[in-house]
Amino acid sequence: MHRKVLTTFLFSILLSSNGIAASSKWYETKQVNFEITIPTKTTKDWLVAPILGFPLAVLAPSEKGYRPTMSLTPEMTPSLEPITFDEVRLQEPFYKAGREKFVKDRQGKVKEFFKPTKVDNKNNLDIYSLGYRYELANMTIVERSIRFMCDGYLVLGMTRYYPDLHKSAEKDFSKILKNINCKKAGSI
Amino acid sequence: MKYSLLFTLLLTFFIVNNSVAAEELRDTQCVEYGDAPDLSEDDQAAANIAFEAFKLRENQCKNADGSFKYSTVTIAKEEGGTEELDCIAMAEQAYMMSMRNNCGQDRAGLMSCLTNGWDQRDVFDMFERIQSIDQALPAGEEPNPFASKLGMKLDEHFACPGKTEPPGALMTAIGCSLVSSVTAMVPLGQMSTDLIINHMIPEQERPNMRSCIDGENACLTQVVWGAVQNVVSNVQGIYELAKMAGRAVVDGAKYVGDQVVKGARSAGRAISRGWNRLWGNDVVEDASADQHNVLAQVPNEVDEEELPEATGSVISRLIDGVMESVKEGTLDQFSCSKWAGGVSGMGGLGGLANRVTSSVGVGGARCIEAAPSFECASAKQKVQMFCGVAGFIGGEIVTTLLTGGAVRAASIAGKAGARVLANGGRVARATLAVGRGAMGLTRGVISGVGTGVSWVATSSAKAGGAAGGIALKLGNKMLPIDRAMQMTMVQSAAAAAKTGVRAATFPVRKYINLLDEAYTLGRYGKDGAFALKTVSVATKADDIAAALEGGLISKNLNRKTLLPDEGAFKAASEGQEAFAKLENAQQAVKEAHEKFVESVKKARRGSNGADAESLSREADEAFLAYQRAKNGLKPADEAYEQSLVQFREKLAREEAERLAAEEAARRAAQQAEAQRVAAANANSNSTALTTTSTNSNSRALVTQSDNVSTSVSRTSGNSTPSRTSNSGTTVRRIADNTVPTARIGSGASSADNFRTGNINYTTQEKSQLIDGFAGNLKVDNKTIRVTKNGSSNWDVQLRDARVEGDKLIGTNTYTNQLDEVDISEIGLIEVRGTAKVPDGSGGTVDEIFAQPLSLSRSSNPQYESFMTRASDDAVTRSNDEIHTFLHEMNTMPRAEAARIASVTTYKLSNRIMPTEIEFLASIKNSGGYITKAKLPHIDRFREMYRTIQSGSTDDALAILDDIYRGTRSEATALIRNNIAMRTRAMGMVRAQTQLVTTARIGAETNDLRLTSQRRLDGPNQNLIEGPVVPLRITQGGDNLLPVVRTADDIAPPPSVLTLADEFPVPVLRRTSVATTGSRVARTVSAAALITDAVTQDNGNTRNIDDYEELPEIVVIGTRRNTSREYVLSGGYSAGPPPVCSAYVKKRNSDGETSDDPLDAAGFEAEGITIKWFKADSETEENQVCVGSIEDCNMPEGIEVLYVFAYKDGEKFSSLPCNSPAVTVVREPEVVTPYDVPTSDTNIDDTSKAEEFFERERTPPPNLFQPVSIPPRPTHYLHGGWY
Repeated sequence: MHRKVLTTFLFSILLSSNGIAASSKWYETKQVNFEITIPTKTTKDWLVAPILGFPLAVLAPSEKGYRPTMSLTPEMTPSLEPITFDEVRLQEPFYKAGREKFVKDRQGKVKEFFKPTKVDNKNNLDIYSLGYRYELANMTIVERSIRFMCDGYLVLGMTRYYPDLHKSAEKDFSKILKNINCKKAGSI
Repeated sequence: MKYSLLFTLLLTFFIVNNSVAAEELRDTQCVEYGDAPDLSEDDQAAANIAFEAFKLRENQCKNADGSFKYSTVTIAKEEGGTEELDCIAMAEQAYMMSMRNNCGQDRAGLMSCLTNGWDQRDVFDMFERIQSIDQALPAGEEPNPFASKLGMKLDEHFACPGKTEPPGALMTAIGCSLVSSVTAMVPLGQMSTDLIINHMIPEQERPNMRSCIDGENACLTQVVWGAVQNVVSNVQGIYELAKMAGRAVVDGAKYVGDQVVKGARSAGRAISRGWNRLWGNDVVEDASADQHNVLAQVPNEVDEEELPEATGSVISRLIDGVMESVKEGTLDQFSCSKWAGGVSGMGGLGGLANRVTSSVGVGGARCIEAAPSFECASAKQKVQMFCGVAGFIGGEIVTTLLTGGAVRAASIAGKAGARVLANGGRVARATLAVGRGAMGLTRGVISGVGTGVSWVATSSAKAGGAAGGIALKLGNKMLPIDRAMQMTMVQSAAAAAKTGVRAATFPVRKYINLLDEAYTLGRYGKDGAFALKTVSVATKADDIAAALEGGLISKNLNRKTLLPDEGAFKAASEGQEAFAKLENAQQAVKEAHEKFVESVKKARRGSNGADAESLSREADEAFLAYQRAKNGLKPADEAYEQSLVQFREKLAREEAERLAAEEAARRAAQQAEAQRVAAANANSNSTALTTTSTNSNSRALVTQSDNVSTSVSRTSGNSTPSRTSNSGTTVRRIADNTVPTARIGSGASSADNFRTGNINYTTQEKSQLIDGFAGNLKVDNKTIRVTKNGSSNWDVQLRDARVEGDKLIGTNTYTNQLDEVDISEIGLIEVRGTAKVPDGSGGTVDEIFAQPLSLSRSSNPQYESFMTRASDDAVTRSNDEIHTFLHEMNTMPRAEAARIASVTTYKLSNRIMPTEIEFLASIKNSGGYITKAKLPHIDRFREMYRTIQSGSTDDALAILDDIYRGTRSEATALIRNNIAMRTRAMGMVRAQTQLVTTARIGAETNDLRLTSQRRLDGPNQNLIEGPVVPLRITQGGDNLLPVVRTADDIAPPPSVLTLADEFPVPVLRRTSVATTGSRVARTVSAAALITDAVTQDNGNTRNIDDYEELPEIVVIGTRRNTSREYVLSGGYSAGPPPVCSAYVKKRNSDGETSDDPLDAAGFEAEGITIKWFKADSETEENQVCVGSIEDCNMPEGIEVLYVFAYKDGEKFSSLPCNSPAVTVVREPEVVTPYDVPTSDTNIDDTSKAEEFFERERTPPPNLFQPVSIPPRPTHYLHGGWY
């Protein structure tokens, strides 16, 4: 009995570690490659691929017809200049004005802007983020716009989810960003 | 009963009073008419007289059936003079009086009666003016509420082409437009477009695309595209565009605050407030957010391969929604003939009102059938109308549709509708102007009675106790008129149900105007649309009318302004004729346009159906006539242009002839002088080759300052074959310079001096270039090939080459040892492509060489086609068109593409401005660009070209710097430098006389050629390579004779360009006639850029494919010329006697001269001798101080001594020695070796020269006809034969 439990336990550890290992993977774009770690135990219904105009997008599982989404768009030619927090703060008003207009044009309502933040990343990437929460067609949306430098390339990113539907999205995206790694194409 | 009556009266009074209080007696309303109070006899008489007067006047305005004329009538007054009656105002007044006093009046019947025969829009106008008294608007579900209630005959208003179309036509038209539009949206991808089309058009209704040939098909593109662009945009691309436009990014600037980037370019609003690389770009954020919106709706079960389909179906749902909204908007905004849902309360009035009410959820009326104008439009016209409405819908509808909520989408569409309306309001007035002329009606309704007597409306409150009604106003006295009298006035009949329903004010005028707008757009297509567009930018009604009147034709008459130099043309007789023809054609267009406008006006006034139809047809015919006239304008325009070009050519010819005559006279004098000198020198030893030139125009050959001569260059170098030896020397026939403007560098400042072929880098620059080049090679695992000392073989091939200090070091691929080359000895040339020798015996080298020397003729149809179109400067192309155009170069043989580039260089060298395409083609041909699908930086390059055209070389160069700022590849730097050279050259060309440039363009196009016979003459099939030398311009015949010479295989000249080489470049060796696979070097065109490099492996032939990956730049190194090994200098001691001294210093391997001159032993050891002459000519007669090497006493009476220095018997330098008080003007010394290939290599120089001359003198250059050509040359000088 005791023995059986242990075996099962071990088995499940193996399974889950397998799952985790499989969920961390390098994805190529023309400019840079991203290492994305899917933060859940299985990668079921997750999708990481180039979609529409995004060189790489991460789609989390759909809830009631909507998925939390994340996109990563490196600039085509490297600009080399590192990002500083000062720069982020200087550009924050532009971001706000642009989002206000965006939401207003669509007859939605901005609820809250988030303060500029720097994401804690274990690969020493300096990831900065601006974001806001807004309402559109009776749905609340949380959208964050992220920027970081990857081997000289500026990466434009965005995460977006519906907080009413996606309870774990905030955490999932945080984990992805915490674990994300990035290298110039051809360097790995 | 009494109470009841009282109550009714009170109620009436209350309502009326209340209303009056609220509206301050704005106008009358329906009131029960009571008897008028008794008037005094006098007053009654006055009223009767006034009434009679009124009737008299009114009768002038009335038709037999009781309706009013729609016009102003002039009546003769008894007392003389005339008076104008406004019949329209009278009709209005009649209606008002009748309505006001007859609550049960049938309004439609009355209106119909009064206005019988009017243009229905005029009825609307009137209705609009009187609606404040008549709020009884139509109710119920009946079709055409206005038409019915107001007695309108809308069917007659428009001719109705749509009625004859088969039932499915509209669907087909919409389908065509959709399919064309959607498929035009490339970024969606094939799968997505298919999906969208499948989704939106049922299969059985999908049009056969062969029937969709109309050019207007894609009018929905902007609609669909505008709606979905955000979700299909390439975010990366948007960002990059913005970055490009935000110039500051290259400097690493990150924030420009509120500063507006000046001259914002293509990225549009992305940079409108400056460049902020992180979050300053709304477009990126918006598009990202919209795309996330699509992504969010991808279902769980979709895998990566199914993604396009999943996103595609989200997008097609989206487009579907957009289309649906637009469709509603179209029907609502333009017209409506059938209403669904109850018309009640405030709603149900169609158009805007309906839109508003449905969006706020009140009422429920919808338009379910288009009104006649829409219906009568043909299917394609309807699509146009649809597009017209759709154009006002912005991208914001997208997210709304995506995030759900048709209600909000509808309200956005409603806003779009309002925008249509707002715009339409302005347009409408202008449409009116075209259609009928201004209305100009005043609201002084009762103005028709006569001076001092007028009818006024009264109310029960103010009419002195009487019930409300019409009163006669005499001065300030009011006389109420009784009912009978009023009824007589209007003669209107019919009793109908009381309406009493008050309805919202409906903007009838606007409604009908929109109808017109749609109609105009639909009926007159692009021209109509253009007119409307022109109108929409005007703000005042007057402007609008004017804009519309002018707008239709102005775009077709733009060929009005004269270019600066057209003044003379216009003054000349041929100019007058051409201009008159052009003006006639323009006049014809104008007249046709006026007729068209007139006929439209007439059609608008058509009084009944039959008339309207025929008038409308007339208008259409007038429109076609207008179009024909417009088409006729084009040939007239072209004829004018052609005539102008011919005129310019004529002027150019005259100028050239004048210059030629001058030149001929000068040359005649020179010839005489040369013959005299030759005769004088006949007995001297045969050193004719070094005879000093007397040609003062030999700028091109000024290579040398006095002290260092090139005359023996390469002759005494260790391994360099002698260029002056008999066994195989070269002749370069140098430019005669008879075309004053044809020479590179002449007349330009030294800073601008345009040099080609050999790029003059400093040692440091060279070091950097080679370093970068070596770095690039390493990546590609290639070697650098270095040729030394003019050998045709690659003496050194270095693997893993690198630059260390001033050496290029690498592993020698032959010896496997480290090898090094002194960088200062390396020259750089640009390699512009390669040529393959055709395989087998069928192909010959000749075929290769048959091509590059002719720039205008080619056996390659692609080249011909390309150049024909490229030389047309009049075409304006979009970037995409240019990309497509330039891409043709990728599909041509490499040599042809290179040749296209050479045309630009050729033109520039001849001071001809290349066309934009030619300029871009030359850039495209640069290494690294030619293989790209699209030329990078095209926008900036085009900007450069425009900048050059506007005259600023510096600005253009600044743009160039900008383009390449921050690039680290030296290969790119080479490209950049090359473009810079062309840019400078263009700047110089720009500054030259237009006249000559124009003439030369003509000459170039027609006459630049070199026949194959001339190039491949002689038993050895010697190839002729080298610069193309323009001889002269003349009238007719061939104009430019490329005269070039060749080397043969026995003694190849160096395939090396040294820094000292001036234009033209030295002759390059022909290689491997019979072998396959050699890379062939050649010079191309007067600009003399090297187009290919010679690569031959130690004499072994190699397969050409081995060189396919030849680096774009070949580094060719050479050791220093021997000419540079010794430097002659002189000294003068005043004496007495004055003494001249000669010093020869030897250079070391670094090119530095030794501190001390050679001593006597040194002279002997080095084989240096010195001779002294009392004139600048090496004759025995002139020689003095024979045997003396270092010094020579100046003989009596001689002011200047000439010292000549020889190495092993061959002169390498000379210089004058004189007192500083004497100024010696000495022509630059140039000695050009020549070569006459012949089987007999032992014949003497004169014979060679004769042979050469015989070969080159035919055909005789026409330009020299004024003086006879000398029968035989005696000497060949660098400036020509003498």
